[in-house]
Amino acid sequence: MSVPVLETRDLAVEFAGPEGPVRVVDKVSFTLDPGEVLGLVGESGSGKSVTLLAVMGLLPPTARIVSGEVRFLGQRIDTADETALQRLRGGDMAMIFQDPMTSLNPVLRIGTQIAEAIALHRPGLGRRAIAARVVELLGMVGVPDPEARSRQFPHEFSGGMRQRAMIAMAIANEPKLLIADEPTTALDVTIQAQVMEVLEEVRARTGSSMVLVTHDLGLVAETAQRIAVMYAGRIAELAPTEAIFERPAHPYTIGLLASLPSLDATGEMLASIPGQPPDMRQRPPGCAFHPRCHLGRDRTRCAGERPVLAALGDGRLAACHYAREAEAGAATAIPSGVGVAG
Amino acid sequence: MSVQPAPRPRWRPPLGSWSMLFAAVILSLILAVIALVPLLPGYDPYQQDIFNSLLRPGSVVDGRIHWLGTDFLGRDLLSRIALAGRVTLLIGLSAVSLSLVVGVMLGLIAGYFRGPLENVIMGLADLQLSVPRILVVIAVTAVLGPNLVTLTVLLGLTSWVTYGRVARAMTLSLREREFVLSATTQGASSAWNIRRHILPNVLPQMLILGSYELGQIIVIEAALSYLGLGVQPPVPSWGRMISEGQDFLQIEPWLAILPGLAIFMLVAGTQFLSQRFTPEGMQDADLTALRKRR
Repeated sequence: MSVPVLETRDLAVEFAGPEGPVRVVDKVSFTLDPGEVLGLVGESGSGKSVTLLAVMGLLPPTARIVSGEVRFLGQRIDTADETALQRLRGGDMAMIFQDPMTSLNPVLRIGTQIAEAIALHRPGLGRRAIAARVVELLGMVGVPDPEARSRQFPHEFSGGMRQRAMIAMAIANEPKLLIADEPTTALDVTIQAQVMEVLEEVRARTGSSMVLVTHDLGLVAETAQRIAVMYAGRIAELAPTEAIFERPAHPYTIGLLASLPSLDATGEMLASIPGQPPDMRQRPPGCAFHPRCHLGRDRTRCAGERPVLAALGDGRLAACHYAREAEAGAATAIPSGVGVAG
Repeated sequence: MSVQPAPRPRWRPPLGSWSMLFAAVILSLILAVIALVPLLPGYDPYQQDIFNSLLRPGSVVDGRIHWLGTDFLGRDLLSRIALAGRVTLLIGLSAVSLSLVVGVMLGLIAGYFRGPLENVIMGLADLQLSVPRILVVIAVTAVLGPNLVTLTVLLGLTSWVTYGRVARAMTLSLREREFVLSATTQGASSAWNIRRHILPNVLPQMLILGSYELGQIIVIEAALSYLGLGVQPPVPSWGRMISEGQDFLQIEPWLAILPGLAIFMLVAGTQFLSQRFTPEGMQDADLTALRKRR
């Protein structure tokens, strides 16, 4: 087994709140192998973004890692100092943001901003070599006429082109780990597929691993080898992509899949998960999902005992006391034709 | 996108607006006086001629024209206004640059790093604002004695607050912008973020403030020189010239009026010119450029 590119073990993050600390990420453990794409799925507030910020050492001052560890290529990075992190960020690990409109500096040329990403990590490189690399990178992500476009400002780029430029910036130093935080959410539906294609292509070419954060299950189905579903700051289920779609073992995952529109089932109401995600300040005891769960709603075990992420075989993990039962009932809960992973 | 027929551009005066044209004319006029008069033959702002004092503008002495007349010691007024302009501009530009650099630096630091440092810097700013600038200058000059360098440094150090406050406020919002976070994920340090990402976004506004402050500084310098605390004789300054001229206001009013006019031209010129950098001014200029391209 090679050393995982990224590994978190029992990672827990707390935010300071007026009524005491609030735990928004709790016991999150996952690994990311070289060249692998891991989808991180969950609704807003499920702790996806905070997990990633913790990985990059970019938690806001009000938040802190209270337990657990993060390893990058085997090295602890949750305890690393700022200088070491600065060397890592943009070098061996890079991030792509949701909104390319706001993540580019409006007063600097596109080329200048990409050049900065290079210059930060290769101080010895000459101006001309950097400029050539910028043009090469823009060409790689499919920006037409890269030489002229590199001299333009962000407002002269369309949304899709801007996100391409962001991707070029992220892969500038051939990182081992790419973190894409909802990379297509801010884009037109027609552009999303193109941008994902470009992202996947350059990722494969540089051989980086990637964590793809999204709430779009269809998007991860196409790109990720494994998917981690997060709920209320914890991983509810983590399994190979096909298994998630074909044999989901956590009622929350089943609910998510059931709520997807399907091509076959026309004219039917879309299923939804009843209730609201819990208030993180008053997390339900036991399983955080049990008040909304069709299996656990009335079971005392679900209300009282917190399920751990347990192996089900074939690399599948689920945090549910009744995972087998959930798995067996999944077929009837999910309309056919949903998420043909492939 | 549908292409709409462009509306016929409204006729605009050269430079985009009347105020810009006015500013450009008076500013280039006074700058021309300051720059070119010392090149004239017979230029000497210090040459006294007591028998030809208080001559009217246009008087001719020994075949030489005193375009603006002479002062109470018979010195050529045009030459003195030109030299005084150089002194004033030197003080003004140096003081503005000094305060801009200090203010922007402190503002960026306070806004980016927050914390106790911010409290100290902003407390200092409040303290500064609570004491009238002219009082501070008078007090310090009284101790150190009036001299050009002291005056410039004092004016510079007492006017950083405007830049500091605006720079801090802008930094507060800029530091939360995603492009700063994005740069951080690329490995940028705080210093790099401030220099490469925040400063370029703050600087245009600082230059607008600077052109406004230049006018303020020139007026204050004139006031101080008028009080005898600024530029010392025989070096002329516009403020001093007004104070010297006021003794003769009844008989030869131009002695005070002409330097006053010079101050007006420089200050009004720079004020109007600063409009060029506001969003509306930019738009005017853009439209002018657009029209030229047709």
